[in-house]
Amino acid sequence: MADKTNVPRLNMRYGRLYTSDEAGKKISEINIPEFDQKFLVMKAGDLLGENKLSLAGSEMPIMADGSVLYPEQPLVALIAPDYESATIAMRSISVSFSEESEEEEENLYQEDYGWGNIEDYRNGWKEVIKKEKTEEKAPQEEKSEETEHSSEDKEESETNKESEGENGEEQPEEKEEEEVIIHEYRKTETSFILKPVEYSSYTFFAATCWSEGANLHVMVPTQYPQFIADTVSSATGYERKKIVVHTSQYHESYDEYLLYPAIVAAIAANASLILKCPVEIKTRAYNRRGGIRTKRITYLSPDLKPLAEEVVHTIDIGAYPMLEREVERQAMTGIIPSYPLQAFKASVKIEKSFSFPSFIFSSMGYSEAMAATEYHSSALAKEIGMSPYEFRLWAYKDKRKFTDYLPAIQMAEIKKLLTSIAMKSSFSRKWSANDLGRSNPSFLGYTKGIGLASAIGIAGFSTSFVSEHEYQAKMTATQRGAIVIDTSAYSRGTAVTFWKKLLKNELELTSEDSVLFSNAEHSSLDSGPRILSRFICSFSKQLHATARKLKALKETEKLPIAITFDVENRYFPCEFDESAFGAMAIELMLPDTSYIPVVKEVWADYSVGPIANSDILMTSVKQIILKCLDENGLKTDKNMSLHITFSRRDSDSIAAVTTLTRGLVISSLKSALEQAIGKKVSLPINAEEIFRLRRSANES
Amino acid sequence: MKVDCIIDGKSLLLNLNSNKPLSLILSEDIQNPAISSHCNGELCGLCVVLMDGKAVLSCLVPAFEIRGKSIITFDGYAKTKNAKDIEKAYELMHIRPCPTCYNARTLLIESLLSNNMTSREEIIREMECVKCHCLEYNDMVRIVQAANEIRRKRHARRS
Repeated sequence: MADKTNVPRLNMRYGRLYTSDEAGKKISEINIPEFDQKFLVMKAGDLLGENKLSLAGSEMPIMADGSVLYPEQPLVALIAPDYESATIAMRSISVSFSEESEEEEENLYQEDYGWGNIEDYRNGWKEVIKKEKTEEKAPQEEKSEETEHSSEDKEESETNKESEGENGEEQPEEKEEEEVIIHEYRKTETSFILKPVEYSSYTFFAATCWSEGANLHVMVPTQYPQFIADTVSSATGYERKKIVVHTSQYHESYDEYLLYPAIVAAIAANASLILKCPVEIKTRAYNRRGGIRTKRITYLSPDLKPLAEEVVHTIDIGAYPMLEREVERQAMTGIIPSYPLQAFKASVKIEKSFSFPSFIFSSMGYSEAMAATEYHSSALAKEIGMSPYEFRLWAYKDKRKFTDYLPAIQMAEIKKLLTSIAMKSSFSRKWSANDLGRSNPSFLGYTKGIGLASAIGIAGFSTSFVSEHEYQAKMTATQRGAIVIDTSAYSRGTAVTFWKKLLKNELELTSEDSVLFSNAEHSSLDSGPRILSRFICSFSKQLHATARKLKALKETEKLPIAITFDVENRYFPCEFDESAFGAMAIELMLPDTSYIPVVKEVWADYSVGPIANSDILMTSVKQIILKCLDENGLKTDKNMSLHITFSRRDSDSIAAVTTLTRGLVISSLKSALEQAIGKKVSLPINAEEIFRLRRSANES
Repeated sequence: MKVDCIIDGKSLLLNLNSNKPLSLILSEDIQNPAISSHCNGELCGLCVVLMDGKAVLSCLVPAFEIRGKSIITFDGYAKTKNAKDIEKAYELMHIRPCPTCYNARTLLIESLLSNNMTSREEIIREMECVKCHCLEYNDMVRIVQAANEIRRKRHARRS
């Protein structure tokens, strides 16, 4: 197949999708006027195959059937000779809804994890005090005239009673003499709320379908070509092998090309097969992150060390739960704090709502959960009376606790990054100055805030997810001495260069050109969805292991030799492995006139594995930071500068810092905003909300 | 109505609705791959084209306004020597706009350079019309100034 696809434009029909703004309602009637033969109107029942889309075991309908469960769900597809007539004809279609859908928002799934007994800390600690020895008892005893004894006499009588108790006599009387005082542990409670974020791209994307011989061609921007082929096959009843997917150019700001293109492609393919001509449907890509709530309580010892913690993390996953178990695992990984605790209990709750299925939005839940943990660390520091930087250095031990989700990680690297960031940004000084500035309002007309966060990055899918789904790649040593890697995952140029180098060294090849990567479209193997970059991150480890195996086999076996291996690493004892370390500080200013927070400066330090292309990595980190700031309602100052540094650490994992950066931005931003406003805030924020918070602060 | 115009150097006679925006004419009637955005006038800034050498938002230009005008889209502009100056500036600064706004930003930079608008304030004011947040202001200024320098040197060599 040629890289540049020639789409046949002759006799092409063009389509638009009718979507509803309402959700959670039953459709009572779809009023479609009579159109002439040039038009084709399609509803859920008109699909040639099944009206369903399935991803990793989860299912959802392609077109709304009976009820609309999320806005943007296609109700009707209208195919016309050109886009203009399709748009005009679409105006005459109307849909009426009867009532609320029976399906209600429900708590779908809950997973708990923890260690130690949290009840011991919830109930407080007991102190048993003998009556005579307590200071409180003394005045009571003085008042009682009948029991007037000297202290010596009391001790004597005490010892007598104790000895009686040992003999098994008069024990109940002895209990009365003891007093149990229940001391409650000092508690710090935070509530971390992220409101839903919706993203609708300005850019239209087109799903084009046409038949050529026995093959059905589909051209669509997609992050997962195999998923498109599966969906089109089930929606049309067409043979899976005869569906050819061409990936058109795209840029996924918020993973919007994962789910929606599959829906549009399935509808376009059906229309193309019904009309027996090429069909193109244009629409906007859409994605959403549901609301996230985290409630966390930390129990502190009398010397203010964190002892135990309980967390409830609630995620709104939208109308159709997709990969909900994976979302839970990712969130759980982010929830576990880096400081040591004697007891820990976390619950991740997944909720349904009448909104777009939201399982991937640049992160699968790790960033937000990690941001909640980091935000809590900063809040804890404030409660204890330390700066967030000092608290982290004090609370983090040399090694992080080994859990089911992350291995025991050396914390020295994070402490180093924290110190570097704190020095560069003068964090402690600014943090104290901002706190003082807020408590003593001046005539400056603005307040400032600075936030700090540090965390471990993960990438891609969990080990459990990989063991549940068979995604593979294949390495073949051919008779001509070439090494061919067969994978359906679309591999980017820079990463491929690094892998070629790696294989050249491992297999002692003469040239990197002897290593060939198959085109994603040609691959006979399914390597799974290429999202969250874990493929890039862990693939080098897999290549290493397979190359060693291949090298050993080459000495004993005849060529060609092929080894099929799992694309993801299922050899780890934990769900995830660390891919990078990072620390970030954000300084912002809140003017009293506009109430629009303006970011002044951002400092970020990362410790990462091999960097395929430092320019690309730097640009992508900058883009994530700026995008995340914008997404949360912040403006950037015209003189704002981003200070980003990468340091290289000894690891094979190619730098994957996407989810890490998102989490760091959200967390440090929330801490900085709360310092500037002096009130608890929920992100994304806007000027109206800040004004309301400020006014309530002044009134109180 | 019939509209005659020059798009990417080609003289065309188009039969159009008089109020159809230029962005839709380019993407639907001419199938221009460089324009994939139409925001219904929400000023996303991604549909920038050069109309008689000046950067305009094509979603705000109705069909009747393009009569007799020369329009250059990114598709036509990318092949020119001027485009290479800006490409070199991206490489030199190790900064690149994201693929979403790449075309619009490049055409805006071209408009700034050809109109000799290279002060910091002018650059920020013009570049702000693209609502994509992939570049910080300092980087935008550095790119434009680097591109200006590259072009100046190229012109000096030629003369």
